[in-house]
Order: sequence, then structure tokens, then C-alpha cells
Amino acid sequence: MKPVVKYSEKKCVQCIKCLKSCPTDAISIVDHYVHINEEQCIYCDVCIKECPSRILKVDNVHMSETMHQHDYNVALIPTSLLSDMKSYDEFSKICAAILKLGFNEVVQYSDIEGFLYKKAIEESHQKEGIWLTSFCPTINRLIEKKYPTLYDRILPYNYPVEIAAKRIRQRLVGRNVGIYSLCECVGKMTLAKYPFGNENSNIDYAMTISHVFPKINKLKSNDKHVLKMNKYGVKSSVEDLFGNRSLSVVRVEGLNQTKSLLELLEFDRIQHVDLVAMYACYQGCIGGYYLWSNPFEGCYNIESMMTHYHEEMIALDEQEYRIQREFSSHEIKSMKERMDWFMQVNEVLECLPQYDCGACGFANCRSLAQGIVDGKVNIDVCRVRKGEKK
Amino acid sequence: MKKKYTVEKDNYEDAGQASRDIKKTLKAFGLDPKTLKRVSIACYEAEINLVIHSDGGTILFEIDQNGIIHLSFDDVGPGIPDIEKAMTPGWSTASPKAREFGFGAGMGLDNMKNCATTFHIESSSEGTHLKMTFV
Repeated sequence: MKPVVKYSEKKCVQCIKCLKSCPTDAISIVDHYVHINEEQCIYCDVCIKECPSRILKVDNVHMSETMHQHDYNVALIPTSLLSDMKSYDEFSKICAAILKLGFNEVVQYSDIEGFLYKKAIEESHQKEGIWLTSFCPTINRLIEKKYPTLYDRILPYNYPVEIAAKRIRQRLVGRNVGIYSLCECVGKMTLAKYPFGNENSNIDYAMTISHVFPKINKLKSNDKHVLKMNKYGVKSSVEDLFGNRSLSVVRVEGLNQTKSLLELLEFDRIQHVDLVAMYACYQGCIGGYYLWSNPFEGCYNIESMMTHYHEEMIALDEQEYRIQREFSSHEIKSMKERMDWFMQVNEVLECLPQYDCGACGFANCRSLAQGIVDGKVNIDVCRVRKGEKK
Repeated sequence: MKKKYTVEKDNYEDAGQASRDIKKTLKAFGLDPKTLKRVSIACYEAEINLVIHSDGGTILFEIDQNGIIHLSFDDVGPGIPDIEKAMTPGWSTASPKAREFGFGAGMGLDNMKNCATTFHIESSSEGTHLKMTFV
């Protein structure tokens, strides 16, 4: 994978807002330069949103450069796109405009989401213990990186958008198809081959909705292209159905709330629940940063179109949606080396104020101590220590 | 590496604080997820026991040279009259207040024993001493 969040030194005022806001302490500032540790980054959008200088960004794929390389182009559109629409008519007009961009087909995947939503509830009720749902790449990565004891509790389902791309590939086998995923968030973008290099994906390209929106808007007319949206899929991506208390399902939105819940789960403190559905964004996927509307009104927009969504369910084969998740451990140090390193870090930590102020360019004193032991910085970067010496 | 924590009797609001810190430290150490899970659950159970049942005490947490985790829980009383009974799943003497907070299901000691590699407990009216190690 290539670096996801791009930083340009120019205009950076080194305000440390990015490193203080990062949910996984992946950011540090060394020698006036922002470093994002790709190993720790969970592809949320918090630093991008927090940056007052607007210099943290994600790359986009430019359709004009890639579409002519394929003889059939497909646009995958997220269910959350509905939240930006005032009516189903408007949604149909937008879909027609997307086709006019040069796509041969616009494909939605709310039916797959609906299937997985029902499957998740069914399976979590049948199997013992608590299960976690996995529709959000950012949440899954958060669990992998910060709550590894829970990684084996994530239901082994592939992402709906990836399943949809695979189905398109199979349907159009033998043709040179370009599959584009319009994304509402950074997390979803990382699932595609380009721009970030997830080579195993069936999705060729990912771009943010806000990136293509101006072009779509220009092409919008009274022409309509009607897509059938599945009611359960729509509901699952706006968290509604997971909020049904009679199903012993807990849903939680936002990274902070999710982290609180995961902490409790690690102590085995949540016991009367079968399924935990987590979303990195407020109101689920409709809280995605790259939608142009807002999730507050968005949930009403989605609700107001309820009569237009159908309830027919599709059936997926197990091999179509189940995946084997492998925990990737990058531990290369031996036990002895790790022990020595850890002891050194703790020794340095004892000399630090442990206010976790971040002024040194590290998110907290422990990160700084690690940085010192790893030879990245000198202890003199600690401003509190310097002040006390005087 | 050693760290000591004090646990107050009946302080339900802060219950679990030591376990949270220990878990955080072990993550920074890079302990493997399976062992981390066992330590976290056992440590939390034991800490809650100190809050609910004891007159207060301390937790000593250590990672030794070989990477083995040691946890010691020492309280100042009132002691467990019948340890064998206390080890029985489902047996609980937790107060209604503790149960209101969702504690006291009676699975604590048994659960801890299952999580730990070695488990040693002794108790008198002077206090209870619980030692666990995790490999």
C-alpha cells in the first residue's frame, strides 16, 4: 500500500492539531516535518478534517486519464449517496449524469449490504459469544492495530463494494472492464487498486464523491436513470436497523465511542449482546467526509424516500462473501530485543513529565520516549523539561 | 519493569483504572494478542474483586526479564472464609450495590484461574494474597 494521507510541507504551521487528534497516535512532527506512520494509520479522516492549513489530503484517480484504457467502464455508487438527495427523482437524475461522465453502467450494492446485514444478525445469534461487524474498513483497521485481542471476533465477511466489483468482473468476464468506486470516505478508497495500491482488489479505481461531484452536477439534466435500492441495505448503512434493541445488537458511531466500547469488550465486560455494529462516522456511512451534504439532514433525506426502496433479497454463495482475515504481525525483534527496547523506553519515560502535551511533536510522552530510544529525536525536544530546568 | 497501583474499597467509579493502565502498557510492550486477552480479563476481574470484596489493597504488575507477566493482588482484609466455595462458578457474596454496577456474577476466581498460567491464592482475616503469572 502507498501512503494514504498526503502531506505537503508548504504552508504547514506545525500547530500539532493533526498529531493530537489522531486516534492511533500515528503522527509525529520531527524536524518541522509531519510524519504519518503508515503501519499505525487506520485511514480515518480525522487529521484531514482537523488540519487548519488544509494541507493533509488524499489522492484521487482522474477518470479522464484512465477511462479510455478500458472498453467498458462501470461506476459503483455507495448507498450513502442517497442522503445527499432531496428526492428519488433527484437521485435518478444524478445516476443519469454519472452515466454521462462516460460510464457504460452505474451499479449500486445496497442489495449486498442488505444480505450481509441480515446474515450478520443471523450468524451472531447462532454462534456463541459476541461478534463484531465489519462494514467499515477504518473500524476493522482500528481493531487490528489497537485492539488485536478482538480481531478474531470480526465476522469474516468481505466488504459489500468489493463483492459487487467481483460480481461485475464475473459477469463481464473476457472484457476489459474498468471498475470505479465513488467513495464517501478515505477508508473505502483504500479498498481499491488505485490510487493506493491494494493490488488484490477487484475495484480498479477509487475517487471521492466530492472530487467528481462538480462534473456530475454540470451534466445533470432531466434525464433519469432509475436504480433499485434495497431497503435493508439502505438501513444497514445508516445504522437504523442495527439500532433495533430487541435483536440484542449494539450499534455505536464515532471513533471515540467505538474505542470506549472496544475497551470494555477487551475486559469481557459486554455480555448480553450478540452483535456489535460499529461506524467510524456519525450516523454511519452517511457521515462520510466526502459526501457534499451533511448527515444531520441526510438521515431525513434517506428516510423520506423509504417507499422507493424494495425488499427483495438476493442470495449470495458463501464463497462470494466470506473471507479469511489474517492478522498481520510485523514483529521482527526477538523477545530479548523487545524486552531491552521496552526497558529503555520506560527509563526515558520516567524522565519525561508525562503530561502528554504534544508540544515536542509526539502525541504523548510514551511516543516521544520511543522516538528517543529509536534515535529519531533528542530528549531536548521536550519543552516542559526545558522550562523546568530554567 | 514493575508498577504498583492502589485500589480503594467501594470506589466503583474508578474501578478498572489499574487494569486499563496495565493493558495499555502491555500493548506498548507488544504482547501477543492471545496472552494480552488472558491478562486483561484476569486482571480486571481481580481488580474488581478488590473494590467489591476487600477493604482495599494494592496491585503489583511486573514484566520480568523473560517476558513473563506477574500480577499480585494484596488486600488488608477481611479475607475469604471458604476459598473452595469462592472458586465455584456462580458462587457470589457481592453486595446489591456491586450487582447494580453489573459486577458480582460469581465467575471471577474461576475465570481468573482459567486465564492464568499459574494461579495461587491464600487468605486469612488479615488479607487475601493472589498471585498469577502469564506466559
